[in-house]
Amino acid sequence: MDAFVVALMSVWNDSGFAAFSMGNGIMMLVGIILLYLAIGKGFEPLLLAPIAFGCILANVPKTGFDTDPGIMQVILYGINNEVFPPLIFMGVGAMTDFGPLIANPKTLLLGAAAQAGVFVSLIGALFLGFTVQEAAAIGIIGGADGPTAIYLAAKMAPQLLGAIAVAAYSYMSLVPLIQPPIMKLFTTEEDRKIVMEQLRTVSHFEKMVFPVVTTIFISLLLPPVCSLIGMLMLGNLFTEAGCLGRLSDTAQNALMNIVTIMLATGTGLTMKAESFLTYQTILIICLGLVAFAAGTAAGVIFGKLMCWADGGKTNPLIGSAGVSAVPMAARVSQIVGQKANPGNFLLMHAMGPNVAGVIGTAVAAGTMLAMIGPAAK
Amino acid sequence: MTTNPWLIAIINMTIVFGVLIILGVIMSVIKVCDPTAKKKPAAKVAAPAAAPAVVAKKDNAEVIAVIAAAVAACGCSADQIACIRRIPSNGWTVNAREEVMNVRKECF
Repeated sequence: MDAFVVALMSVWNDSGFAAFSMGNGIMMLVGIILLYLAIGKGFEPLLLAPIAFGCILANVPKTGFDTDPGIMQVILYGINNEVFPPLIFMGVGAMTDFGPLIANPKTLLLGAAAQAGVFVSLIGALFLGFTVQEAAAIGIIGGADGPTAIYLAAKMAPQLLGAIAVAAYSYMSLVPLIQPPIMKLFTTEEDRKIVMEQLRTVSHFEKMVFPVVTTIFISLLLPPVCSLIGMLMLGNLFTEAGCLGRLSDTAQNALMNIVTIMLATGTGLTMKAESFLTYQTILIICLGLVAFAAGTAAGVIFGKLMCWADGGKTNPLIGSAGVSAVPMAARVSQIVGQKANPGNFLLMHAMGPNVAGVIGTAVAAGTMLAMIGPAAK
Repeated sequence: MTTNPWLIAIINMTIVFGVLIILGVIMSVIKVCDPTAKKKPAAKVAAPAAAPAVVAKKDNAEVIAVIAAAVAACGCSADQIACIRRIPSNGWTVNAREEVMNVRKECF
């Protein structure tokens, strides 16, 4: 009988229940709520569902994910060593059409202006007591670019990676709710009704040369983001080349789905109670919202300036698409513009600043890495 | 390494604007250097009426059948088709791309 009790006690002591804390319980509840939002409410289900499940897994005690070799170690390695974000960027590149941007290069400025949100939250984070590396990683949430946020957080503030990734993806899924009030605040009804001219047709030559030249220029200027920009443009080249259909298909479908599972689950695995349930997480969530709002406002205000400068040819609403979130932010510009004028089709015009925002966020990340440097390991 | 938040913000914003402006210049240069760009016609083409004659020679029965079916689906008779011309804009391509982007639910 004693041997039975001893064996039973041994099983209990080795179980997760014995080491289960209140924090683990709260984080599992957070995971379940995120799972409900993803599946029940349809908020970014492809990303939020694996993040939520990863969060639940991360809060099971005694799993040895951090110490024992296995699939979870592989996933965490991919997160912490910049493997997955560049692969996601390749898929994004394969799905992106740079045509609207090449046809109307001045929309690059809108993509640059919307990066103001990054620096507003960076300043806020520094004033709230974060280190300069942490502030830079938090600021990049304003770029509305998940892979770049994870890339920079893994390099500059790995301890905040979970909070930063969750804030970035949560706000990206809430773009249709966050942006319209800000867009309406900074534009008049007349502004929103502006119909933009049809974009010119971009030649195959331009679409082929653009990714190559952009990669060489940005990589030489900012080597730390060479892998991000390089993979983005490589994916785009697969699609635009016309003779690499199989590679393009793999990059934007099979590989993208596999890496999304790894990246999102890995992000969830970083959401451990001891590192996530902190006062800093609340601050990061608030700063992320400030960053999104400031980026949207800056884009729309710059759009108004552009509208004034070109004699009313630019609809300022496309400025809000400068915060990346491809293609959701461009769709929001289209929806708000069409509410003001049902005959208005802004989607293709908004795709210009939208993809410019992706490049702008990567440039901002590279500049901060070059200026501030990664966190000491 | 500076820790002045204002200085970091101003320097970064300047670099982001600078890089994207240079990219814009590069795009303009690519457009100018494009060897495949259509040259503007040196003189006015005198025979615009020749085009329909060339089109008429082709066997477009399948295309005509598809268009007739589409018109019929809209509630009109195929007899009401006076002529079929490709419109100058790339509206169908744009429409297809817009549809693809509207179908995609995820964003990255």
